Amino acid sequence: MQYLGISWIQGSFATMRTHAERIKRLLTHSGGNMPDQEVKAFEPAFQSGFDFFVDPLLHRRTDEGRDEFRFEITEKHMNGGGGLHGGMMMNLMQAVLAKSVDQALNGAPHTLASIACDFVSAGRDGDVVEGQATITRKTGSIVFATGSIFVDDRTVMTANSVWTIEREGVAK
Amino acid sequence: MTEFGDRPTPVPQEPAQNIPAGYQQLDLYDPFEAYVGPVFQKANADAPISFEVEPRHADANGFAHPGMLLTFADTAIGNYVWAKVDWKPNVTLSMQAQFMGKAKIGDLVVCVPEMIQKTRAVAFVKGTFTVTDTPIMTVSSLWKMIGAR
Repeated sequence: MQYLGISWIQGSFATMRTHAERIKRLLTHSGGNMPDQEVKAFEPAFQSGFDFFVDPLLHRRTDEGRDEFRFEITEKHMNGGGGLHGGMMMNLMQAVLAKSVDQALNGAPHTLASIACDFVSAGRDGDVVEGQATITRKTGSIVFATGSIFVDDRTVMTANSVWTIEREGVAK
Repeated sequence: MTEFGDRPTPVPQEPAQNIPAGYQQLDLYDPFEAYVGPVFQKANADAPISFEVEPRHADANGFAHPGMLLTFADTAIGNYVWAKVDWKPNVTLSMQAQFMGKAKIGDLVVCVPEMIQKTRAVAFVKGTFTVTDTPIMTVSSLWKMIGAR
């Protein structure tokens, strides 16, 4: 039971950091394949709900209009084999896509209709995961978005998604 | 490293307060599943798996967050596959989900998993997710047996 014994019961460095310390680490993280941009700082993408319950995801919109994300993997996000849990990985991907779609729609209500996720590689305890999303097409009722999440230069997950735009007073 | 076919010790969990009728609390082996759980299963390995939507699983409108539904899909189908392959270690390779409905706080989301095909290295698994028999999500997924070629 080594993989449960060492990492789960004793606790890791990443988990021992406070919430504020983790956000500070994400803000000062350098490396990865995002160009450094001093001008725009990251801010929490969500302040409540399930997104917040699973830990803070940081977001910034670059001057070129690209949405960028950062998240720190800690022990509670793990599977039994010591990797980032597949559900948490999809949850992160969904959050990256949702925030990007929200930005593209200026906050108009939208609903996830379909998502296809490929699990390209594993994430590990303490990794800083970065994410990016691209809006492929936006019509009057539908948004197509693709996203990827990665650790440094290594892709962890890629995904395609379809979102429906909700109309006020009209049932979905 | 765990030997093939050797099931480890479950993650310690609080006993669930409101176990749905006919279900038992499922032992979980992944810390993240225990963090978002509990989940429930009927008596045998082919039986439906469920979870009750709590406020912590919800978005601002009181509906189950799609990220939580995806997490539950990975948890429910993952545990189903694991039992089907005699506890051999495996990982999610890909998962596609379609959302045709919503679950609100207090709803019991039920997953009925189905093994479509199992090759030496990959399992092909479908899952139908319902709330009071109304479909809210369907999933198709691929699972890779670690080490198998």
